[in-house]
Amino acid sequence: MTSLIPGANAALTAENPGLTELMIGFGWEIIPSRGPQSELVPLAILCDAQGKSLSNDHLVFFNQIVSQDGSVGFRDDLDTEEIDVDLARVPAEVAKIVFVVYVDPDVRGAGNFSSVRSAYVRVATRDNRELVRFVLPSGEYRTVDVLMFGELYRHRDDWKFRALGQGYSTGLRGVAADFRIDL
Amino acid sequence: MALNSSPVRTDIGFLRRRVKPAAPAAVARDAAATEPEPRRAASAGLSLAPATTGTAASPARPASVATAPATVSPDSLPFPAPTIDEVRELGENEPVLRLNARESAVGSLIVSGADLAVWEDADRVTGSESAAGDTAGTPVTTAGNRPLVGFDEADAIVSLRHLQRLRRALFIARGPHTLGVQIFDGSTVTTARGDDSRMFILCLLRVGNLVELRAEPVDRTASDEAILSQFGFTLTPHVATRESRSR
Repeated sequence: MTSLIPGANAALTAENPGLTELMIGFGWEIIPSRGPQSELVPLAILCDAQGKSLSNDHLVFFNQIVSQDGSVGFRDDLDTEEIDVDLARVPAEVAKIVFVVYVDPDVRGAGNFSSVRSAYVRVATRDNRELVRFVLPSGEYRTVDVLMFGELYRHRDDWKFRALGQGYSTGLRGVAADFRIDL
Repeated sequence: MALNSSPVRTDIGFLRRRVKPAAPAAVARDAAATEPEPRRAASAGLSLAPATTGTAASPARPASVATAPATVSPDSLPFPAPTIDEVRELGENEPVLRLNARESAVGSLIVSGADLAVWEDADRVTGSESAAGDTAGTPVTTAGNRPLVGFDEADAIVSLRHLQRLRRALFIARGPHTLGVQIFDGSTVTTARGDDSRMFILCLLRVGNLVELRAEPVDRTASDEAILSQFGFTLTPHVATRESRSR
């Protein structure tokens, strides 16, 4: 297992021949509060070569797109959220898949990442063999309400994962503008 | 009136959010409260999943049938409905609109002008709150320590992050103003005022993973209780619980 720092990348398929299915796991801790708490939501954005979302529908989050067969279950309790990627079926026009976690913008005190600790993203095989992990530096995102955790991207015929750790203080509107999504 | 007849996407099956196994009790509840959901493709299409957070999952791989999203027959696909961008006023001529999956899930749905908000969650727990702060029935609070439906100052708020917990809600305005709805992207819609004998109330329904908004005409002289009864709401008695005292 490889630990990454912001900006670092790891060759996934080149170092793991035959790897076609990945599980992207996200985790975090929220400092408990009696009042409204930040609620984090992972979001995967499928991007073209220009780094823009292919369409408004090329998003995966809790309310859009889950495989209907239901055969994929939650194998362990390590992660708060998990997203599966079948690399063999990713269309050629998808150059990268960006994994974002946003604080739900509830008007009743949405909060930000200042109350979030121990956030990470990890990439594992379908049988949960961890390949890489990126633990986001704590204390660096106090005014941030959206964080790009990492991205899967094509490199020639292979797939790599890059740790990002880049935040937005403009919320989902900033993400929508950068990735050309209607949110 | 333009209809939203865009097809369900079936080409993104290579990427999916995992579905955490529900607790057995929750599975039973969900089965009892099954609602129609949009059509899913036969092999790898789109579907809906309950919003799950937290880490209380079983370490064992769940049984696929028990934890899978319920399959939906094509017959249960909602009829086409206009989008919020296509409707300025819900009323006699355009009584219904439907939000898309993103609009239905991000941030808060804000209802202005309401004097009473009534909710029914997925477990049929019902309650109400008035703009003045009077409550009845049973409150439903989300994991973020916010009411699933409730008032924040003068506006009624629906927590869309927890849409899957909501079954339906009603919003009633008694004053001279009409009801207004605003979603995260800033889109708005209002309800028609009605006439001397009828007024429009706002009915919010969750259809699978989508929010549907309807303007429903009711007798202007009808009491709140009569309207709730008309729409089949029976407020769940609220039993206050507290930790036992240690001696």
